[in-house]
Amino acid sequence: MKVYSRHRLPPPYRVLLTVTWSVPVILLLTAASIANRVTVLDVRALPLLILLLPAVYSWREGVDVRDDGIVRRIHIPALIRYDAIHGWTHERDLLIVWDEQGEKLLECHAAHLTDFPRLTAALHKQVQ
Amino acid sequence: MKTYFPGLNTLRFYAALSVVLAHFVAPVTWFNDIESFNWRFRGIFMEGNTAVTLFFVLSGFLILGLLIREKDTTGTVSVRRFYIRRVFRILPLYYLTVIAGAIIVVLTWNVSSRDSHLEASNPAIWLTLIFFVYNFMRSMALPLTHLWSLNIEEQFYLFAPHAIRLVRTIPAALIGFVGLKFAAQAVCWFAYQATGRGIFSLMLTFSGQMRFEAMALGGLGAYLVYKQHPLLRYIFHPVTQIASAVGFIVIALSDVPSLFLADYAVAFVFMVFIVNTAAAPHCFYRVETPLLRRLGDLSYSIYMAHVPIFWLLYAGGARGIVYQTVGIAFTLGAAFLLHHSFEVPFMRLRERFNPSLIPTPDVQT
Repeated sequence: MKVYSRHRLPPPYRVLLTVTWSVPVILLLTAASIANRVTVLDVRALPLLILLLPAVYSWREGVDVRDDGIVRRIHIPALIRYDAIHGWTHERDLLIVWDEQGEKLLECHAAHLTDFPRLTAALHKQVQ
Repeated sequence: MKTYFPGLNTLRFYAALSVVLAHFVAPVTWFNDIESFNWRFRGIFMEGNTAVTLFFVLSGFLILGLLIREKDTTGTVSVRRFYIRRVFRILPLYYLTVIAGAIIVVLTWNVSSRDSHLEASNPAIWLTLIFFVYNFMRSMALPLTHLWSLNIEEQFYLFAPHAIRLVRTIPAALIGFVGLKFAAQAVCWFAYQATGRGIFSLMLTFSGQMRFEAMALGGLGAYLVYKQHPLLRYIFHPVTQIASAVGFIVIALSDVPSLFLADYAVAFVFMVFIVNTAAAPHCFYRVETPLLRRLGDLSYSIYMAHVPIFWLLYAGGARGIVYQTVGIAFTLGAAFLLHHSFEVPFMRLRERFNPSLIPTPDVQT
């Protein structure tokens, strides 16, 4: 499915957060490999890779605009179809999208996403 | 910022018990008894060194947190009051332990090892104990061997309040400090690899013991919590909580490599774990019961009492499972008595020197 626009954390924060969460794993694996001759491929090192989850999350966090809807990658990832969106509001830098029952489908700060006007423009165009 | 953080007392007790269990092997040095290597029970507990890192991060989180709060509310830090509070908190029990250690050495002279005799006869060692620089002696054969970590903590707090008072941006200063120490250790490591000179090895050993970065990272965590920093969104996130819990378990159950790189990673994981335990709105690994809270209150006394008690028991002939179980029971009993009869009265005195804007924290360090 074609993605028209990707909205992520502004690059410096995105890189910084990803690096911050990756560094401990790199340090531990490097220390283990130097001190104990444990290689990265050692099964004992596998649980440490879970420490990379926050790095992966920080890197991927954001919103994708597609033909059939928007993909929320904030908190729990989900595809939000345009026809499931009942309304949205963008006030004081806060974007809130809700469904027919009034439940929030997406809530994010403008400052947390790159190219935010394109996201709101897509919502404006697709959601009646 | 709250002054009581649920769950931290449980962590303190866990760290204290880990150190206690790690010191079961100490008679190897004290009494030249190689057999005690087989007597160590570890279970779900950490290596002693790793547990001390946990103590350091907790200490930084709580103590630097109070300093950060004081600076934010009053515009400065009263260094004099800080030192008076530290004196009342740490020194009475510390010097009581040193005196008890000296008496125990004399009482058990006939059964202790030659290494112990050599160290006990060295006045320099006793002077370093008195002046909180015992960590530089690397002495291992006295019933006071565990005091090195207290010395390092107090060395850090010798300059930390001044730094917090003087610096304009606290997080930048803390991160810069951690980065500088890392760079210095990396230089030493590379220099040692390249030249093989003993001086670099020695510098690595001492700087490795002086885990100031752990306290600085704890302080950084406290800053984020106190300022309700936007980064907390990532720290409190379920993904991060799961990662930090797994990281904590892996670190607790494994033998952390004794290379400085690992110390930074461990301290970082502990910082995230502690921040979540202390301040996350929902944290699945926060554990606190009235019993654990009370046992956490005893942590400092447990830490101070256990080594002299182990020494006495061993010298008295206790071995194997008896040595271990009686050692833990006596340690808890002595810690209870010490806490209530010795620590608490001094802590009450200390309260007089709390800045009026800062209530006494329930969690003591």
